[in-house]
Amino acid sequence: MLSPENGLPLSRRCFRSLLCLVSARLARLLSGLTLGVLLFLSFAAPAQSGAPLRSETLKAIRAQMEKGQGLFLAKDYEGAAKIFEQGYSQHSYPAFLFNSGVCLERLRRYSEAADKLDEYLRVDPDAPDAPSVRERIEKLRAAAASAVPSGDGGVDGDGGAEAGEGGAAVDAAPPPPAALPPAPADTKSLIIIETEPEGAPVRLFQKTSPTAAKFRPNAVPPGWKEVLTKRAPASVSLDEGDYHLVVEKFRDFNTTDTEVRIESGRVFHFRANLSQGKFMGFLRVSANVEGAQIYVDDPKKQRPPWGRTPSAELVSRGKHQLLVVAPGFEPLAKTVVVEQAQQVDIQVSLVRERFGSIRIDANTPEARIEVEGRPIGIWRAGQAPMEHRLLAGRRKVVVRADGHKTFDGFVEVPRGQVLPVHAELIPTPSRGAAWTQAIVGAVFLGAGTYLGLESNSLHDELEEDRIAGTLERDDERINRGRLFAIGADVGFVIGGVLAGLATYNFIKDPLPESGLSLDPVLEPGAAAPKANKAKGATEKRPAGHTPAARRAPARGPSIEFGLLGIGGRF
Amino acid sequence: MRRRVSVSLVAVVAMIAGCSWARFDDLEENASVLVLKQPSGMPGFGASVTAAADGNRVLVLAAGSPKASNGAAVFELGQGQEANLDAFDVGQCNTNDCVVARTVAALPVAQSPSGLAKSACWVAGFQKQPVGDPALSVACTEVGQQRFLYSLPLPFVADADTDELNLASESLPAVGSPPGATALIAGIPKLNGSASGAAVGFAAASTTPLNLVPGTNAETFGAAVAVFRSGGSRRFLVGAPDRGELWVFDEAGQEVGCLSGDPEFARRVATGDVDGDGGDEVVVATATEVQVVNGAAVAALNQPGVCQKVAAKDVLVTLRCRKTSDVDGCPGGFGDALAVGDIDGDGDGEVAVGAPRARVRGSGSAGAVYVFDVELGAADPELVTEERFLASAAGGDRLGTSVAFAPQKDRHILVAGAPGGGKVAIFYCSRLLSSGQRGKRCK
Repeated sequence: MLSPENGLPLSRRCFRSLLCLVSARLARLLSGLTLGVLLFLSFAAPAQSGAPLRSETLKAIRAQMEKGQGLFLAKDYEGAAKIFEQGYSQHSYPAFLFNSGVCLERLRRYSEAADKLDEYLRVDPDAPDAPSVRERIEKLRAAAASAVPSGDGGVDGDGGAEAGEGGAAVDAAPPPPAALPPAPADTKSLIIIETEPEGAPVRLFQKTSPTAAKFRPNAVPPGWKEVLTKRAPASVSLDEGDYHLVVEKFRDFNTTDTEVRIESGRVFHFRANLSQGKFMGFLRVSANVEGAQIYVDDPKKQRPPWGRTPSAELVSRGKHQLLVVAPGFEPLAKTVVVEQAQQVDIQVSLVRERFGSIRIDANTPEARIEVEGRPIGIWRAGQAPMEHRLLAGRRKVVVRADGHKTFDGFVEVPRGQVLPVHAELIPTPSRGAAWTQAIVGAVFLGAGTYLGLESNSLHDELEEDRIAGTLERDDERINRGRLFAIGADVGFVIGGVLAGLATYNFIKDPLPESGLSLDPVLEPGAAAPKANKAKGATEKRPAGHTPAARRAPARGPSIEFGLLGIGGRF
Repeated sequence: MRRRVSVSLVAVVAMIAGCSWARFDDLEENASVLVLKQPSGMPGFGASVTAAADGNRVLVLAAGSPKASNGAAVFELGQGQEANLDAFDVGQCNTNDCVVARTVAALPVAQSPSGLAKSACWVAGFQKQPVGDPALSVACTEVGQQRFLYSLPLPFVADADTDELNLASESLPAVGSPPGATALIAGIPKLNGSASGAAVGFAAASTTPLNLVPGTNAETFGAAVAVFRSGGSRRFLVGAPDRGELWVFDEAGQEVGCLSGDPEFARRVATGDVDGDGGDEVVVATATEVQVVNGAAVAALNQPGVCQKVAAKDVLVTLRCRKTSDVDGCPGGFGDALAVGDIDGDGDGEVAVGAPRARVRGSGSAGAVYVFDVELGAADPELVTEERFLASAAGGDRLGTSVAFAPQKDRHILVAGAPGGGKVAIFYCSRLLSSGQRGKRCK
């Protein structure tokens, strides 16, 4: 039975059970290894095709099966039946038909259940449980014939053990006929077996007695029943239980076998690589950054990447040095232990590196750029934007251009990303009028000063003459001095006014200050959006702002381990 | 920024305030020298000046150049330091047949030929008569009266046709003393057809001419005239500079003697109480200097027909031109005009010596007036007190061509003419003045 741990995803619950199973029997499985076999996992594919299943297909099959199983466990038999039928229509594995029949029986729709089981046998006439299924079909038809018609469209009563525990529809239905044995408690699982190379004969034995001795391929002990004999690839629908899978001697490869624990409503995919001389594990690496390069046992990255996230691949059992790198992120190294016949699922959270870049250009023919007080170069129109790598965070940027106001401000450099920055330098306002006023004002002030000095000199001279008693009232110097004084005053006033105007015009600045427009941050190596460049329609944001969605995760690096394993000895 | 602007504004305002033209108004209003306005048609204004008091009125007569000028003008200075700079009477000797004198004279108290007592009368020139002797033109400017004119006959210069009529009356009375009737003397050198110049005297309050005849003929006799006053008696002084003689006549017109001296001795003569003894001293200009001759020597002179050299002991002090920072000496003409007045009101007179050809502040012939406060008791009796000139002097002004003193209640003020500039300047200030005498114009 599946673990009833509520609150966990179904797959996780299944995985944990499997893990326990695998862990407990791992040593035993390894002891019988004579040929390198890869035991493989829970992805299914049409066995009829003869070609290995693609992982996407396996995922889809598995998802369909688990979804139906989830609804089944939730006693949503109607929904589960629909999912199983849908799964069959898409992947044509008979386990879906059987499971759909089980659901219909739980719904006391006996006739439909019988039909579904009939179809199951038609599709897989060699099913290990074919006799019992046929018997069940007969009983279902009998039950359907004796059942009291109901107003719910022909839903028959349920003889299952869980009557009264299900949903309202089940509870409201009439009880099953007394002649009908209880419906199967569980759904069947789909087992897909593939070998490399194909065509190897496979045999599957079911443990029928709890007290049966340990399985031995050369001498099958009592309590074990052979339920499948086929050449790979093959698929079979099985009830929950303990099984033993044997790959017979094939070509130059020796026999190998493994124990298998099957749980209901699951998809098990066994892929045996007969050329390997040892058991292998399956390593799946995913990350918060899609496309990150994965290096396994290659810390210096001397070989091509093992894969790119998300990626899954077989690896030999044992310790592996995992290195995940992505542009703009801190490399993450980790030691991973992969056991034989085990899938290690590693979720990596890469953290943005401490450095970022600004990619800067300007709206002027030439711009001198300083970052954090250090010149980084001169950008000229027609050139690619100047890119500069620096520590992420709030950084001071100064952009200068002749005839333009200097931009002097801060930008928030994102971690591990590129911030496209366009300096929009505003021309410095013309100071011609101010200079003219200043010069003319200076001339007036100078003239005023000169005249004032002359006036003072004359006054002093006249005062001396006055003291000497020689100053006459009509001395022309008096008028001259007076005119000088007036001239000086006028000069000072005009000069002062002009100086004030000049000062005002020097200070006055009707134009806005130079600024920066920031494009959305880019990943390292990415080109700027052409549309923005062509149209100049840059997104204008305040300097120092970085979209939160683009920021690297704030928390530290982490690895999540998920294990999905299923073991067997070949 | 606001602070800078504020500071700048304050600085500008301070500079504007510092450069205010109003301070020149003060200089103008309180100038130490006032210049009388030249009447129209009076070229050479300031060629001669004289002054007199008439009650509270202080009057100045200023004339233009002889012959070229259309008479003389009377100005009222008043008491204190305000003066009416515009002439209130320009009808002095302004007829075509009136010849303006080279030096004019004042008659503060006079008597007309008809016996009328007059005051504030002026003798500015002589009137040519179509028939008969010329006559001195006298015009009185009494308060509230129209100009009163009368003539004084010049019977001994019938054919005079000269521009060098020299007139003189008595020197100013002592400060605070009322004016009285004054004698008058007229001298005319270089008479046509005569071997000697002529001089005519009028006793105080007399209209009877006295023919003053020197013991020796001299062409330039009459080139300088003065009335000497000592102990209640008067003597007429007539210079003959070509001979270097100063002839002395008594009030009856009789020659009593003669003094001689250096070349061109007596080319100009003035009288006044220099030593403060109540009697006049005689100030005589020679070619290059000015001598103050003890009045006692003149008063005691009684040797008619004899011209004796001035004894050294009788020369109280000899005054010479000196260079100062402003006056660059006198190329000549030191003593072209002389006057004695009590500038500081201390009882003894100061000698004003005109130097019209003096170079002042680089201007040639701008002219200056030297004022000598002669302290006879001092070890060095020759004490140059100060030089007076016009601060605005221009070349050719010839300040000092004429000098006079105008009476005030407590002192005399200096008046000097600068005919080259058509100016008559009133010098109110002197370093001799006490602080109480300085007034607003003198610091």
